[in-house]
Amino acid sequence: MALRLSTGGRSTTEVATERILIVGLGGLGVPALWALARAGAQRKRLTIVDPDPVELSNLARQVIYRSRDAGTPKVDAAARWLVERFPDVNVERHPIALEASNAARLVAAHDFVIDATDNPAAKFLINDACIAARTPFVYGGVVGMTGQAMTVIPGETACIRCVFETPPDDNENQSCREAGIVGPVAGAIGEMQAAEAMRAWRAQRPLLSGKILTYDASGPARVRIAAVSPRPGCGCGAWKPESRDARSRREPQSPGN
Amino acid sequence: MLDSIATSITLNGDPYPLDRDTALTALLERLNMRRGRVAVEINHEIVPKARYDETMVRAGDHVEIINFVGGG
Repeated sequence: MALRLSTGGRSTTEVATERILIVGLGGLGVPALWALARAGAQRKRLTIVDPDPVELSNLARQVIYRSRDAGTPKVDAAARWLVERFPDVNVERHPIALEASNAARLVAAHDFVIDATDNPAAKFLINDACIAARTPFVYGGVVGMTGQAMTVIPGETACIRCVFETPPDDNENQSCREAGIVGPVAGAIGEMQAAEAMRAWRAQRPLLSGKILTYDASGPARVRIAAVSPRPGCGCGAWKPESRDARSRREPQSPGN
Repeated sequence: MLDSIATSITLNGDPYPLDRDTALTALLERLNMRRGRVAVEINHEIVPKARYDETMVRAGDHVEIINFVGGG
């Protein structure tokens, strides 16, 4: 069923929000999947993608897996868990890594994508595939005590490349191993990603559309939501010359925002 | 110096002192942030990375520096 996704009251975008793709079933994907299941996602079609088996070290924060699942592909363990609790759930499993060769096909078959991957290259790949397919998605990331999320409405709000341009050159997996992933922080971000998907399937504008949320539980802890504007020169098509003019006109009335 | 008039910007929502107009790259260095990992907005406009070297941060600017979080 195609729903109307309100885009700020001025226009609407035709978005069907029945088929949701979750890429990654780790610290972010597990809480996102669980939240969607609790929220009634059994009436939706969920697709889960992850190439890895469950490891014992996952169990503390990837709470749907049990020790007996060790060695089982995460997509199989997660699907079994899901069906035990929500027998009418419709879940499609792909025990594969999202790659340039399969991303376009997978993304195009879905109406909303949750990026729950664990590395920058995959996040940029999801961004590019979703921009090409014009599929909205919610990016999520977590390292140590810091988490981040942003929803992208292709062609309308800033994309990951508008904001960060290219993946960082260093190895994020290395920094994850050093800083670890803190379960409650990953849980907070994953649940928020699910809430963004829920807003989309209810034809409501996701709250983090064009806004990047940083949840930093370390040191002087803070939650910061920054509105991000599309970047001229980014190929995603969200930047429009008239939007810059509109912002310039508005700015004198809203200093400090 | 105490008698100098402090110049300040708003950095991620909080006041941040700057004693003079400062190159964006110098500010990033002072904050120990690496340009390859961050996004910078000045007065609500994204600064393209190609312009970091020529961009100055001035008194009263609203600066948002966002570190990319790429794990999961």
